[in-house]
Amino acid sequence: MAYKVLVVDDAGFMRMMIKDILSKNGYQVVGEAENGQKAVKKYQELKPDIVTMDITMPELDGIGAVKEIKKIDPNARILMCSAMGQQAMVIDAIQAGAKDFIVKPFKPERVLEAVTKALA
Amino acid sequence: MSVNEYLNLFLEEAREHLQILNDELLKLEQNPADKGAVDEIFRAAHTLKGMSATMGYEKIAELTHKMENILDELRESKIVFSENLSELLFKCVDALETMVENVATENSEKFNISGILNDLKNFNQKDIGITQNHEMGVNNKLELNDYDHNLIKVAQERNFNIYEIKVEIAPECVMKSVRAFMVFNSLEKLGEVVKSVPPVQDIEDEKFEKDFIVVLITDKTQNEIAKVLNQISEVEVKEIGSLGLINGSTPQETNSVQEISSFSKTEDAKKGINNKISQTVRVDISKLDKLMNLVGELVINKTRLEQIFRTNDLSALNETAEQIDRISADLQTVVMDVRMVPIEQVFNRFPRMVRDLAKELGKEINLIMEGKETELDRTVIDEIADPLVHLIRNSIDHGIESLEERRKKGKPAQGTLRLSAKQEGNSIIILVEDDGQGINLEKVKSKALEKGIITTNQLEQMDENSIVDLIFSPGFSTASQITDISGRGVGLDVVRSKIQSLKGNVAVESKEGQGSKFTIKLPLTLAIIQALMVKVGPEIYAIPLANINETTSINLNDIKKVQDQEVMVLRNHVLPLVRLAKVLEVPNMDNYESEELFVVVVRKNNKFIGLIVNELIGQQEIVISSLGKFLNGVPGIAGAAILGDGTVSLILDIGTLF
Repeated sequence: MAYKVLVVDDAGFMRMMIKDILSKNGYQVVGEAENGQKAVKKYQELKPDIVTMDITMPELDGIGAVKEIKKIDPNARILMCSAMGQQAMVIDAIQAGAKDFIVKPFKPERVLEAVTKALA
Repeated sequence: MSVNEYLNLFLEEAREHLQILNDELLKLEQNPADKGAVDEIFRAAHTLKGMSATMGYEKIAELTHKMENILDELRESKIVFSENLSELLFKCVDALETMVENVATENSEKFNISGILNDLKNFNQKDIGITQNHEMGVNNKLELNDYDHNLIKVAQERNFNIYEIKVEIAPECVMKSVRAFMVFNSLEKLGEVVKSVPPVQDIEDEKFEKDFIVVLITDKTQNEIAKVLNQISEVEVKEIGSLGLINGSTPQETNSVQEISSFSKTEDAKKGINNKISQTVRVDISKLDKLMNLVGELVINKTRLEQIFRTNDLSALNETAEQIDRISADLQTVVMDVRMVPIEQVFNRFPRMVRDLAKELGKEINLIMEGKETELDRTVIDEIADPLVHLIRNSIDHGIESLEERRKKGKPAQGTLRLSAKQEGNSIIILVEDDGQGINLEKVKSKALEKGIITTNQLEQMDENSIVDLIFSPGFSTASQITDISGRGVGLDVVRSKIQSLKGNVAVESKEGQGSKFTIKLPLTLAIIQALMVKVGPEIYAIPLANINETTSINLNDIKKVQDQEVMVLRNHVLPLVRLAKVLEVPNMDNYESEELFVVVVRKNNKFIGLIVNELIGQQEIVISSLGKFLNGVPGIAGAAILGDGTVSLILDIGTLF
């Protein structure tokens, strides 16, 4: 069965992009969220195998969302989607339990590699 | 991967973010201590950066990146929000806007940002660019001091393995320090990292080329370590070698680990106050147009059905007809509702515009906006922006006086510009009011005469309202000086014709010395309207209900003549009459002479006119169909409608009929 993915990003454009990359490569994007709060809610509802998580978002940012999700499910696999210059935040996220990160602008291969590794 | 398919979405969202930038910058200017605004600005710039970089618009990405650097300092209170900074940021937003629009029109950002980048750089001397040029080519070599030797010796004594691990990070990796951190993080779970080359601090600062060496004390095997490390993306384990060792003394706790955790020093306080994000679907507007057309067709056929039912008296059809009536009415409401967008979209750009204009003219203006949530048909929204801009510019430039003048007149220094929108029945009313000098009647009169818009004779018969209304005449402009802001030869006549093309009208009221008020009235939607069907001789015409004030009947004898103009007295007011048959040149009217005639009182701008017709048929919903290319723009005709029996009737356009 295809792995279930939850895509979190405040830009619909980014979500669409990631969604396209993943669904073209056999992943099943089961949900999307545009902020951290919704991401946490969706995570509980959908129980995805992996989450791609933007960092800068309204309501609750990606790091906060990682912390919340990890509380619910310590085994959650979360892949951070960061932009250049966010080193410190990526590290925060990884300390909070994120598996890996990709940096925008990203290449499809990078996204796939990261997802595959995180699921391994 | 082609990015073109994302272009529309990109543009739409980019514009949204630009709007946020503008709004929040204005907020910040009002209240420089507003941390929330700084966060919002930062977030918008940041998202824009990510989006544009992904789309390959490097200039936008670069500019937003540089903006971010400054914003970050602002956020951490390293610099204070000054007027200079606000000007600079506004300039950046303008540049971004230009680039985004360039992307929209020609699919390239084409814009010279070097000037602005320089400004930003001067502002932010210690600019941390995307690319960091470090000394390259330093060969990492592990050198152990006494302390290390001691540590290793003790570890050996306790049967731990000691490995020297050389890790290489992929050259295309953008955040080497984070990858390194992940390496350390994983290794810590396996054992204890006692040393690294280069030192942790340098790795943290990305002061290494592509590889670094770590010494790990662990009870795990080489294979286990390699397996864990290779799970990290963009990281390759070059070698894992055992360190056999020499002499030493007592071990001590090292805490390079804690050093690494101090990596993270940035706060993540970005709890947006944005609570109103709701679930939405973005739909191409053309699909909605299509849907609306289909509903229109349905409405036409519904009316036909009703007609068949009425003429044939089929009671069985009655129920169905009524049901369809209800459903199609609901459907129509829903479709119309979907097409509705809040006028906020248009209003949003005004605070910035007013601010800029006021600054340029050295005036102080308080802009009050009301009814931003009022909804209008999407097509109307797109068209109404320009006329509104024109009116606002007018008010600020010609209406509101300079600071001195206001002081002399005893008015508050700050002028007030009020922009409000509200729904009234099937129309939307938009008001643009200012408390400026109003319209100078004498000036209008002399100007109108000078430009030959009216004659002295005509002028004598005009009341104040009609005179003020002259400012909408083509070729009229009262500004004695042409400024950059308004009065570029395009006058208010353009505003009026634009609004009339939207089946609306615009009127002005003015009190000299106290200000002026422009009232724009627009229909809620352009496609389906309520109309009064009238008979003129043998022909049936539709008059939009929005234009109609009332209807009344009149006896032929009651028609009076004043200066060759037919009039009637309606509740003690003289109402000029127009025979529709004459205006429309309806043939064979002789057969339709009758004693009793009907008068439809319509409003044209500020005036009332009575249209004489033979018969009032009734109120009906009609779908406006265009007359096609050849007959487009025939004065007095707004379009055609298909009636219940299949016949076509023309819809009168009161604004341009006479």
